[in-house]
Amino acid sequence: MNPLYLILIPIGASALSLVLGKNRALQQALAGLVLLSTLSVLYLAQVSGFEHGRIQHQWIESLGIYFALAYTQLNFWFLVLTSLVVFASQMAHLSKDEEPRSDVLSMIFALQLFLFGVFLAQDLMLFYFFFEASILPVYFISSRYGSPAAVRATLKFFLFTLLGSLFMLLAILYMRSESSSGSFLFTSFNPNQFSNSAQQYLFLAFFIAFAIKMPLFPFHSWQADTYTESPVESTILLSGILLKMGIYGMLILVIPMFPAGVREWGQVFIALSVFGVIYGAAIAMVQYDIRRVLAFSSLSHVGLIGAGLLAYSDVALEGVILQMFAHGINISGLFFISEYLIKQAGTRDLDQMGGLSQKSFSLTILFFLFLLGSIAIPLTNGFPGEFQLLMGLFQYSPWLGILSGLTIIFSSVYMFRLFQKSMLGTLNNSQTSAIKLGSAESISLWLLASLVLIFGLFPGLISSITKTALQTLLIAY
Amino acid sequence: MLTLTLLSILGLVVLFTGFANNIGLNRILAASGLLACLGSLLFLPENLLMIEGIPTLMSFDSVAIKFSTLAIGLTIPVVLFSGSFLRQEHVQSAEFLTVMIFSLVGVVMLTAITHMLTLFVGLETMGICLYILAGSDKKSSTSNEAALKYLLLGAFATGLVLFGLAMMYGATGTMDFSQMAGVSGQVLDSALMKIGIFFLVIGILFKISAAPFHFWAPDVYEGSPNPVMAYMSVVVKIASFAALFRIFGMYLQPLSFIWWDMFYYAAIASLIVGNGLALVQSSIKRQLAYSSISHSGFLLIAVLSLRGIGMENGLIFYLFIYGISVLATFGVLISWFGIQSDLRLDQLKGAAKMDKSGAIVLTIAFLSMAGIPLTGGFFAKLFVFTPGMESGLIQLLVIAIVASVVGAAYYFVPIKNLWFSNEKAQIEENAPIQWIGFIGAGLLLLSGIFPDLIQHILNSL
Repeated sequence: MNPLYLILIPIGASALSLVLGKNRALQQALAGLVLLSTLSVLYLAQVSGFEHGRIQHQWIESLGIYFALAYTQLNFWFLVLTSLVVFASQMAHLSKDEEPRSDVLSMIFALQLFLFGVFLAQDLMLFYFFFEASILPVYFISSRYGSPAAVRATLKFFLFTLLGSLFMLLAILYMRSESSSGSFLFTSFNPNQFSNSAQQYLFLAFFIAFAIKMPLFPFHSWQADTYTESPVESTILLSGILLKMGIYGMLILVIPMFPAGVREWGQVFIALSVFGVIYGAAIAMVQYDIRRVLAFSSLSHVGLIGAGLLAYSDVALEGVILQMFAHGINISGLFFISEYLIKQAGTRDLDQMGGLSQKSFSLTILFFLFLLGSIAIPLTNGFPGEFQLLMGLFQYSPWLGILSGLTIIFSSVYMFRLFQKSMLGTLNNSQTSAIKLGSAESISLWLLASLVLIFGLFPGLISSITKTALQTLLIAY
Repeated sequence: MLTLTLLSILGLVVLFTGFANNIGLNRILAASGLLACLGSLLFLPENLLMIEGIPTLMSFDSVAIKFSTLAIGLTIPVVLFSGSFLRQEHVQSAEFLTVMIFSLVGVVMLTAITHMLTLFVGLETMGICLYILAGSDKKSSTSNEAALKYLLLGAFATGLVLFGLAMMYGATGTMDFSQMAGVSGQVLDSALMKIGIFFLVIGILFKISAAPFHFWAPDVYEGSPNPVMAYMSVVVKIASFAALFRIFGMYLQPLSFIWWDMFYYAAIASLIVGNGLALVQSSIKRQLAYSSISHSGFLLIAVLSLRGIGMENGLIFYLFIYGISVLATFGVLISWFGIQSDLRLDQLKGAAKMDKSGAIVLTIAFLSMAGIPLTGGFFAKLFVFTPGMESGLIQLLVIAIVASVVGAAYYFVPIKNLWFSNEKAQIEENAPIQWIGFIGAGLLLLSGIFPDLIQHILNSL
């Protein structure tokens, strides 16, 4: 299956959604169609074997940059998640009361293109190109249609990520100047090519770029404001899929290429990430803004993923893939539903919410499902990933394992607090209308919620594809 | 040589059509004449008018043709959007266009220099015309101030260049740059030669408005009429970098041990000063002036990498992208604000609501100047950074990276004002001149996605 198909679908969709304009039903149909077609392309690619899905054309001759795309065992689930989260984001936009904005929908499809590019790229410079381009659509959506404070918050986000990624650019250029092949193809670099001291610097450059994107603990200061002030569709994108670019970059670049850097700095950053797990959870427990609770819960969950990435054990890496997929689905669902709650209560303040479960039964069920997934209750998708991550961390260092194990307790505290304050109790305002959940929205939410259970019951679906590839990542250790 | 002759004739013809007092005719004549010069440059043999046996002190090699094609090509849009400025009563349109074309003679000469004499004549022909252009808005005191400031400081810089040239001649006994590197090593290492190059470098740094010789640029750019500022920041930069490349990149490259350090520190200073001060400006033109200083810093990285062909390609691509970005910006600004010379960043607030297409063009141009992917600016920076990295200029590149982030911070101020403000902008909508902006934005996107295509075209000139 040619990877170009996957690239072409969002290009076409992006143009088409501009044409469709304010027609809500057609835009919903388009989003569904894009989801179906991208997933079927991915399915066919998987069935026909990843080794057939590869293209490579010269892009910029003078610098030796190739337009090289390929399906691999590692990027498969990232691509699936991209389709799902983009769909959720489109649906969240289309569920709003005001008329749909074709420029937003078109930009979301453009973002989908860049994300596919990031995950499919087999050339370091092409990867970088898409990686940096992907900030633009979210920046414009968030600043234009977010709250007035969003302009400032998203510019901060933009500059933070730009600073990180430009140092990565420098590292990429350094890698090419040191390698004899004169090209940026992934295959032209290997782990033992760089000296130990060079690996330290390269590790830092790449790690910080990805850590800002995820964000991991000391690089997270942009996160809460941006998640809170952005409109829901871009919050879903930011938390559901954009941060996965950071995880993916760590997986395919940082872990295999700079083993010396990981050994040298791993401990420091694992400790910081584990601190971030507890720190995020502790803040989430005392927030009164529903969006901020979710933002800090995301910081906490991603911290665990970050720690697992650096623990160089294949158990933990498998946990990373499982957890990143689960986190993408759960957090998208939670932000999606929280938008209904905010709309119904007229406020983001948890103290002024309450009793919203009386308004819509199905929404309560959905919310509870995503919540269980997020807490990592057994039989939900969050469990296998979190369990493996904790196991890997425990093997790395029992103390760190125990500390990060606190996340299980903490996450149930803040998540149940969230549920209790918003859904249970008495209704604070005298609104009588029930929450209207359109058919398209409920289909998409139930689709996501069913994935919570499916991947909770059958995590092997994910790990069977990635297993062998993950082991090869750790060859140099 | 042919192009120089044609340009001079064109200048005279435009001057004489001034009798007709028809601004439209003058502009069409000037623009089509420039187009003809461009055609002759590309398709006719340049030595057509050269008399054999007489040294011309110039060499119209491929480097000269590339740089002068860029310079002439990017002057045409300036002529096209100078209309609203020329329609003012106190502006003499024929004189204005003639002086601009005459300055282009100096520009083309600078791209082809091999000799001290042509360097000096080229610099002065370009410079004197620019002093006049800067002051062409006679009734505006800021324009007069700009002209005077430019004249005084420019004359000072010329003096330094002349002094340096004299020293170099004294040391080597030749005025021909191409023979200078062949003189014996002892002479080249002498104090006289070093002092000579020192002053020459300072003079050139002044012309490219690199820090710490940049003080004139913000004032002159701000005070000059809008088309003149576009011309100065694009064409003059191309000419100065062409001269810089010819002297230091081609002929005096073996002497890099003398001049390399100076350019190195000037690049660092330009990156810091340009980006740092652009951050705190409230005027669009001053911001663009400081950004022009910082772009000089980026361009100097290409010069410092000392890789002949890579340097040349990097410089030309960067100058092309930078020129297009500036011209697209001015295309929209002039269509919105006309002859208004004092443009504040606040005036852009809410403009996207009034004129979406113009705002999109401006956004693309600013993104390109900031070097964000999908626009040509990203590859312009990449083509400069790559040879820099291969020459091991890591510290300089780290500074350039931080400067780029600061750059993004201030390029996003106008973008923010355009799109995310609820105020109502006072702009004229959809003036016909905007199509220059559309073409520019199209080119920037094209070169941001298929940079190879643009580079092949530029290289095959």
